[in-house]
Amino acid sequence: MGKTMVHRDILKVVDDVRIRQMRGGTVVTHAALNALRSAALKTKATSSKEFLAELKENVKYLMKIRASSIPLSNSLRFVSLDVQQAADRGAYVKELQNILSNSATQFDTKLEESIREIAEIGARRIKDGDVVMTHSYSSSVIAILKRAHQQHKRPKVFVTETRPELEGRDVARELAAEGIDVTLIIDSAVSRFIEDSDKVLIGAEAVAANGAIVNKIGTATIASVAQRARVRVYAAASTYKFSPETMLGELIEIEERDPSYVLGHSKMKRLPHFAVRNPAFDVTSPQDIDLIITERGVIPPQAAIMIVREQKGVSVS
Amino acid sequence: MRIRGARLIASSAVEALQIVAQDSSAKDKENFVTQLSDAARVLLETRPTAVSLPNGIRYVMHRVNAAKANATSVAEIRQVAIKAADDFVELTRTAVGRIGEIGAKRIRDGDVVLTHCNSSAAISVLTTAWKLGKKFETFVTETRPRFQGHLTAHALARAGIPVTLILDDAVRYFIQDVDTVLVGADAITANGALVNKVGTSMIALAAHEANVEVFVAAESYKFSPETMIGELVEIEERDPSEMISNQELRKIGRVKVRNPSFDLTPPKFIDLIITERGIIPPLGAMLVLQEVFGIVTPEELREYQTYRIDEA
Repeated sequence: MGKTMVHRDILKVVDDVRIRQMRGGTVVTHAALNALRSAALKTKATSSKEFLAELKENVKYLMKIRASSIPLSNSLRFVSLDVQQAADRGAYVKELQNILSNSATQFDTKLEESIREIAEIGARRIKDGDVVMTHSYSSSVIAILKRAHQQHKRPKVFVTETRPELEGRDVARELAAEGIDVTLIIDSAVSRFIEDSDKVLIGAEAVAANGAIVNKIGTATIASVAQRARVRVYAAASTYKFSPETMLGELIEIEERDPSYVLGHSKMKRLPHFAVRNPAFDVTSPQDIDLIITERGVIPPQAAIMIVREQKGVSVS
Repeated sequence: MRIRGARLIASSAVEALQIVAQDSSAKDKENFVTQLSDAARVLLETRPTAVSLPNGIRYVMHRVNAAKANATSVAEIRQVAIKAADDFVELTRTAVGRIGEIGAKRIRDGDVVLTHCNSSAAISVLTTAWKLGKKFETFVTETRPRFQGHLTAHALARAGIPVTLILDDAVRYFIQDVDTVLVGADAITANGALVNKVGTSMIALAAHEANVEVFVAAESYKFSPETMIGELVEIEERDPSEMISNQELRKIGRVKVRNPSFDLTPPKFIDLIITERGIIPPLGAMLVLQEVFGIVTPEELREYQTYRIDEA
């Protein structure tokens, strides 16, 4: 047993996410599950106790990827629970490997299916010729827009570039590749173009028990501007984004990221000293959200508590 | 875009007009004034939103047209043109300092002030307050697309003022910690609305919702007389290359890019406007306009028969 039990594959995925190759909570969750599965298959553990200890270390390390990523923590909890229960039943390492692999695949599949379902349901809310404004990168939002476009609804999309990492450009690229009409704007231009928009469609990193949405910084601003302009705000989030912890009063932690994403290292060295702060997410209050589109249907934010209660049953506190 | 900042834009345009006046070889009054008018028209086209530019030109041409009737020689009118240009440039120089003096009184010890873009008037308020010994902190937005906030952060930090640089998107996140939003102005309309760097209206909205006061530092030549007769201030859309390089754009594929440079903040989100002539509420904009330009008609505006203030 080495000093660090964290597998190389796990270290790699955490690094990949850190150097910004991953976009969106769902994508990150897929990657984390893949890494977990691959690490388990390559395990050198000789007893179920060792295997479980390794799993625990790997999970702990993966949770560092994104403090506020609920589908990530939900998925890791889901898999851990399955493996733990099998170990309690007396399963050996080989069986535990299979259980882990199947469990990860099961969650992955459920996640994929939920995105497909959200796309179907969400696309129904898009009317022909709708002008939709979006922010940051969300697999669910992209799926909805692609589906609507496939249904010949010809949505026109305003895509915010989304500082500091400019993942909006990836959104623009994916939508443009489908032939969708895209206009790229800076985040500050939202109030200029909100009056030309029919709806705002955003993803969610997490949904709290009171229906508040945690999402990329700038989301709360856009939702507020939209409300003021009487433009509907729809959030697309699979039930795996709903956070059981918030029901117990826990606050969702907002990650502050490396300030060099805001002001590059060389500029920071050249300019006289001043502080730089880079909160990665913000909280959109439920009153600025009209609907949440989940794979189980469309709900008002006030109904989020029902879904959160069910999630609590799935997870281990 | 090589000349940036409303004061410099207006001063440069006026100085250009001065050069036309100095170099003119016109032999009679009519030709001289026509030459100036033609030059004025060309200068006017350069920056549609910066109302300081037409106002600067107006300042000179109003006096030139008034002198034309009584002048006995081209030389006389030339003198008027040259002096008017000098006076206007002087006005722009002193206005920023005066706004700093007046506005500094509104900054309190312990305040947290948030600013956007790079406004010499707003910076003047803050550096003047700091020199008076007031202790406060600032949040500076980076201000896409050209990161003009970096210039502001640099200027304030150099003066010794504590600065925290944040994303434009992060204003709402930090607004609860802010006491005052202080911005400059590209133009003030007759009903007290503010035309300023894109993103300003979103910041004002966040401030309004959090009960944070919004101050605008605006020299009198930022006030737009056209809006008195119902004209709208044109919002300049600039080249997408300010936002994204051609190379990056090619990687994305077939998308449109739009880059409006300014936006409009309604008067209800503005608490007060600090001018070099004093502090007014946004609805007092009409008073400033009338004092400075009088009650204008479209003809008067076209012929630059406005800008009545004779002293700085």
